[in-house]
Amino acid sequence: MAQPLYTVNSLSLVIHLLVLLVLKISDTLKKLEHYIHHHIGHSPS
Amino acid sequence: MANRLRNPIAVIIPAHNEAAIIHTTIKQLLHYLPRHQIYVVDDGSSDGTASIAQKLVPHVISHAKNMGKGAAINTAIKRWRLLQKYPYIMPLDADTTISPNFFPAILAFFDQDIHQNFACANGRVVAYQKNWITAYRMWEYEIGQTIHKAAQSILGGIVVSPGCATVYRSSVFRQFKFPTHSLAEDMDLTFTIHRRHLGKIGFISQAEVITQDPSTLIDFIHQVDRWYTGLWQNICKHNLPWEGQMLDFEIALLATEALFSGFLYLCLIVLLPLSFSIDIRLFIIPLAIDICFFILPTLIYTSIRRRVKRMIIYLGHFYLLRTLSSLIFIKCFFKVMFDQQPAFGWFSPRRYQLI
Repeated sequence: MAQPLYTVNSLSLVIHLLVLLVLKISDTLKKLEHYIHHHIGHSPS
Repeated sequence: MANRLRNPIAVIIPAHNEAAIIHTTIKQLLHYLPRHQIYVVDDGSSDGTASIAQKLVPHVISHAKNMGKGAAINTAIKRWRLLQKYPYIMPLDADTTISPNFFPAILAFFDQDIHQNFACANGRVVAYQKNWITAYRMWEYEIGQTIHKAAQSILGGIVVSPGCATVYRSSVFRQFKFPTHSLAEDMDLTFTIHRRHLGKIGFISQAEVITQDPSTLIDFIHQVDRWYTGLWQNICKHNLPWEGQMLDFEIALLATEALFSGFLYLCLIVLLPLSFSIDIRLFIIPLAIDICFFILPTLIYTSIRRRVKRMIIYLGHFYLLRTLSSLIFIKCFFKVMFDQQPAFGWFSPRRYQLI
């Protein structure tokens, strides 16, 4: 059995898409925070 | 071949009347694995499946009578003591073709899992394209895995590890046997892994396998009927969705929505003859929204990703199959809820040679 249950419907598609989007944004923000901390946070100025 | 694996994975091919395809499957698999790592269990075939396999690999055994896929896998594990010899076990359907990247990607994933948090790793299933019915399945797989499964993987709620694309740690089978007496053994095993907290389930998107899906409407109906019956059997067996795991949430969401859609389609079919007497916009507006915001974008995505240009012209066909699937979903719900006769056995759609 594979995944035929999923795409019969669109509400679950939207919910899972939103989950991916939120996780992607969260991941990007973490990377940005990391970058700022290591590059700008330690700037001599 | 230089890229053949040395030892880590045993591939078990359970087969029932697969003479048309088993030769191609094994020959292709031999590009990536030495022959002694491939184990074939002929489950009471009457078409010479075993003799074809014996010409290609040394480990072939036959059941005198048909006992089912789960029983065939358990026979291989016991007969050749695979749990003592290999850290990883992969059951492989006789109709499945492995992509060159499959084993390297899966093994790299397990190598990174130093603390052995993962019980198994799923690859991505791709449907072989033949006609409008296989195109529908290709679209379902593509969207189901790119969006649903990717999200489930992060949340820890993968609902099915496909029987044709999953590599398990041997430790999983030390604790219990591969499920038998189920129409969806792989889903049964996935639910068991969640329920017994045996480990996480990984999804490795770049590890692809290609499967042969039904190319006729009758085979399509039989396969969907089997899958959905298996789903409802497993929902009852594992007490879903009442135990508070992410799996329960996923199944509750997917099954409730699918039931709702099924009843909606049923109502629409019943009301269709009345559509001339009521406002036609009641039908047209939801349909237009569905096409513009769901069907078309996902079809275009799949069409580009899998390079199947004709997919767009199958739009109408897809609505037919989608409606059919929804109605079968309801039928299976009532069948399992009101008829407790356990059903299991093999289903193989008509096979075709890959080009």
